[in-house]
Amino acid sequence: MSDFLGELQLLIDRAAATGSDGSIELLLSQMDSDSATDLRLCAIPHRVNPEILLALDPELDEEQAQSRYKELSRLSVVIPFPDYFALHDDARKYLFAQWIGPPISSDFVAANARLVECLARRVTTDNGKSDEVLQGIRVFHLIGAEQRSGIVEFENLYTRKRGEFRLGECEKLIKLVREYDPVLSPQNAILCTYYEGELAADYHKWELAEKTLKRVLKSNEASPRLRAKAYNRLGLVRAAERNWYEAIENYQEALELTATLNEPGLTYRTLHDMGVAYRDSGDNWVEAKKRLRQSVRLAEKENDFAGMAMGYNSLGTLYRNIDRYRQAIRAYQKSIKYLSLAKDRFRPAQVYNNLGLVYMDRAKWRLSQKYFEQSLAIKRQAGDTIGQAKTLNNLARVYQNRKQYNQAIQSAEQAFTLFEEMRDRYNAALARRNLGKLYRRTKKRELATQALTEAIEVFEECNASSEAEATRRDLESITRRRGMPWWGVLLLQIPLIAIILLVMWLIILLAEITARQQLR
Amino acid sequence: MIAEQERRLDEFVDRVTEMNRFQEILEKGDKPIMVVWGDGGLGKSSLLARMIHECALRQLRKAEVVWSDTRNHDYLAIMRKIRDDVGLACFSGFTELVNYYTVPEYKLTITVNGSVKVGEGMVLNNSTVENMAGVLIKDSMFVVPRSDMNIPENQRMIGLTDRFLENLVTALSTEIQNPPLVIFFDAIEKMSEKTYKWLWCELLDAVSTRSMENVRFVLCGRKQPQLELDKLDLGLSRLVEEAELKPLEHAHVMEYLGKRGMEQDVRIADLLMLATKGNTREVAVYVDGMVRMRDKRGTEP
Repeated sequence: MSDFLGELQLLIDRAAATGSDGSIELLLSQMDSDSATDLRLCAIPHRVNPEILLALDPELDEEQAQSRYKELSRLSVVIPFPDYFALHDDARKYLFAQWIGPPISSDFVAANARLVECLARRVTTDNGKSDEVLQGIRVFHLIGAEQRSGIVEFENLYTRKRGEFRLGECEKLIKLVREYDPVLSPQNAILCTYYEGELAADYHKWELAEKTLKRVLKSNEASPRLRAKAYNRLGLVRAAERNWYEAIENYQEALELTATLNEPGLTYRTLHDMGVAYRDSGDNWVEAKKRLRQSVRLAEKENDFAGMAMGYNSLGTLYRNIDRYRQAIRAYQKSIKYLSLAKDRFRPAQVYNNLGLVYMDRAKWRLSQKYFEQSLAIKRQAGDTIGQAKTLNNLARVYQNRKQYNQAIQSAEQAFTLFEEMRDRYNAALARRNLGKLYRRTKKRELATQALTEAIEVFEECNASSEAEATRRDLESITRRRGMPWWGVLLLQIPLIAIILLVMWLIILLAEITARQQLR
Repeated sequence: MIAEQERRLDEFVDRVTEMNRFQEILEKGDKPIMVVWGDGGLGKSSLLARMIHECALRQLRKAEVVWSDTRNHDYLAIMRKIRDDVGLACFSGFTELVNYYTVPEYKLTITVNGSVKVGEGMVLNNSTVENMAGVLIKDSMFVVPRSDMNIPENQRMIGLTDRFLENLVTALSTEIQNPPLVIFFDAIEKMSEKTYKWLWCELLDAVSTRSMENVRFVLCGRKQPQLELDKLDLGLSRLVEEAELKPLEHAHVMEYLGKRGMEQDVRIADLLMLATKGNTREVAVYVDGMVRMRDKRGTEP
């Protein structure tokens, strides 16, 4: 026993001295060498089944793979599932770190190459769909087999998932790449950092996004293209935080870099973002117009209809902000034209809404209504419920101004219902308040009181105290005792004035008669 | 693999307090949400397996969602998994809506394959049934929103969650006499922040806002739950039973040695406690190695 204890103590001490995981090292030292090698190999993938084991150790035949799989499944370092096992996270991390060193082991590279081949057969499922989980796993092993092409695949897959708004998948992909941190080339490492910054911005984590993107910009390993993208992204972050001038500075840096690259797409997108920042700062519409026009011209050179549509839409909003309505309308109409050429079915809804707002500003209610209705039709087709609610709210205002109160009420009620459905309580309360005012206008006092009371409750729940207060004042104007209208007062006063005048005339007449009698 | 899981259950030690608390939440239901948390290697997944086994012994319905480095379940994947574990039949409305949101040009089509037994064993009094049909809606399992519509993500999430919870509440209330449904979540520290927020603010919050009396949730992860998310006090703390896992004690290590067929020698237990500080996984892996050492020597230590 003391021998056994002595040996155990020695192994534990050795592990502690080298900073190793003593439990795993003891286990590996006591397993037969083939099984120990296979256990180490099992740390490369995230899950293991007999097919994966065959790819990891091609010297096994199918029967041996099944047997080895069963043997390894019994280890405490393994978590068994019905169709596979996985190494415990900490154990896998420990063993995986040994594979990638640095330096990276050639056996590791070869194993990953076999895994990529094994997975290639399974990534597309029977009905032709791509298995999302296997796509990510394949990228992971491709990086292990050949880092350069693996990173290219990562970028392609990341961009695709981001375009599908699957940010959780993007997060997962970055974490998988980060497992290779000790051996990522400096350029690939900084590329990963850029994507982390972009993801943080997508999640609206502005502080984290800023910090991460600044790290990219400070690094000597970032390529000029990556730096340009990082400056642009940082500009967007700052614009989201309403730090317009910092955003503009960042865009300027991005533009100086894109001037040296053959990246027209990046250039005109940055010009557009810069133009929007100038516009939204409210200070410098001349620069805003200049940048937005430059963006449109460049997009036109590249036949990028979507880019042109975006530029004209932003120009339209700029012109609206500076009360140049004709130019705003022309710009929006051009945007619609290019969206049609780009075969974009849904973005026109926003531009039609903007046209409706421009005509509303000019009190051109009929045209305003026409464009809001066009916007609404597209949003209905798109299934965009919140979008419909916002446009219905706008329509309610138009109907009200056209004195079509029943239609105004109907629109406002629909808007309210849709906001409620989407649990947008603040906007639902706004819609309720508008409804209350409409009811008041149409002398439906009870309905008005109810709607305004409900709006106040919701504003208070949303901590919107100024809106609640304003709505209370609207309610008070209904509930306080109503006096006579001014014309009623005037009408009543006329007879009174007439009586007073008559009495005065009688007094004067009496005085005259008395005076005449005295003279006689 | 099932035999392997049974073997591990037999070797399970300690965690008596946590199992008692679990049994209480099954029976009483005043705290229907249990959160088990602790550092890696302390046996959370093993405890979960023990709880799942307990559910099987009591013949309780259950559902499991497990996160990993390669499987990052979002809100839709969670609902789909719960649906699949509980039974498709209860969630036709939800599945239909999922298809509507993901299949371009979606149209509900009905194909009949084989016999569909509906109303088997039904007793009719003073009624005549002309015809009857059962429909099970199949999920196309697309993950990407349909491209021929432009429904905002937030709208999809709200719509799907509401429909799922409606179906779940109906499924639970129609079987009110049945024991509760237990839903297990493992490795929740790997969940994205957005999914975490959805889980607490939508799914678990429904326990208090809707009539979901017949369901229990068990969450396992490395971090203590944050019940105040984004400055919103969820008000769920009264419904949550927290269980922080601690390292094993000396007596548990001794017990474990015995269950693994090793001599329950205090000196071995001392060595293991010193080397592992009671980390469950490390103790178990050391014992794996020690068993092999012993077998190689061919003698009892």
